[in-house]
Amino acid sequence: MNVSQEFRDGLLAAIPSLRAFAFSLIGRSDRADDLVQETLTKAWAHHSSFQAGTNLRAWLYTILRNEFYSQMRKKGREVEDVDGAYSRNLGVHPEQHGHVDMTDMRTALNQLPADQREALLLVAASGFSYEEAADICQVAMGTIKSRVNRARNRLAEILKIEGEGDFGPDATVEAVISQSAGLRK
Amino acid sequence: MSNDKRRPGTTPGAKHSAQPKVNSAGTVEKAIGSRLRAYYDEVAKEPVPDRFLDLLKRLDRQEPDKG
Repeated sequence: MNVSQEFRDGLLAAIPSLRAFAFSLIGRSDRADDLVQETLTKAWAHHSSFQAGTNLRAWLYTILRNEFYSQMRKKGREVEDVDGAYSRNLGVHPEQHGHVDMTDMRTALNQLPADQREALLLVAASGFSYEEAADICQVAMGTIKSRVNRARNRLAEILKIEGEGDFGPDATVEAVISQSAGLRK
Repeated sequence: MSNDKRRPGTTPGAKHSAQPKVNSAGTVEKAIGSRLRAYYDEVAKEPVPDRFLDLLKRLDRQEPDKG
């Protein structure tokens, strides 16, 4: 059974998002793109197990995620250790996208446990619903929600983004805080 | 301050962005969300590198002629 045009188009359309996810998990563009290449190759090989009309992007993310963890296991590394190595390397291999913000976020993400990081990325960056993210990670939706919450709070601590607790409920102040957090150098 | 009081059903789908909420968790969520997406989009907005276009072409050529 040949690959359909729809499937091909779907793969192509998903590449930017898959790259962003891989990059967020791994941190180095060459390795991240290798992971995406593996993912696409596997997806193509297993295209007959994909049900047309269902969520192709979620299916691709599942493959990428499984491939990522499988590679980590083969290397005998904890995912956190690998991320720690990458964040230590930040001084040697500067983020190729260059912004200080990027480095802050990269470092902050690396400090999260892997399961929280991926949950947060899936929901808050990749645009999946909690339910979709739960399917991709093969856990309950409540688990995803709780991981996302913990990840957000932890990230906020690391990046020093405060909520109203410190600054009071004034809407103007909140807006300024959010804005300055975004502009933080 | 930071709290876990997310009630089920108040965050519909969380696609692309949670709607702003009038509480500290909502402020944090919004700030994190926009920075995270900005970080993410730095890569997502790049044009597809040639290696992937080449890959898809290669995979395509391997397709058998018959269905």
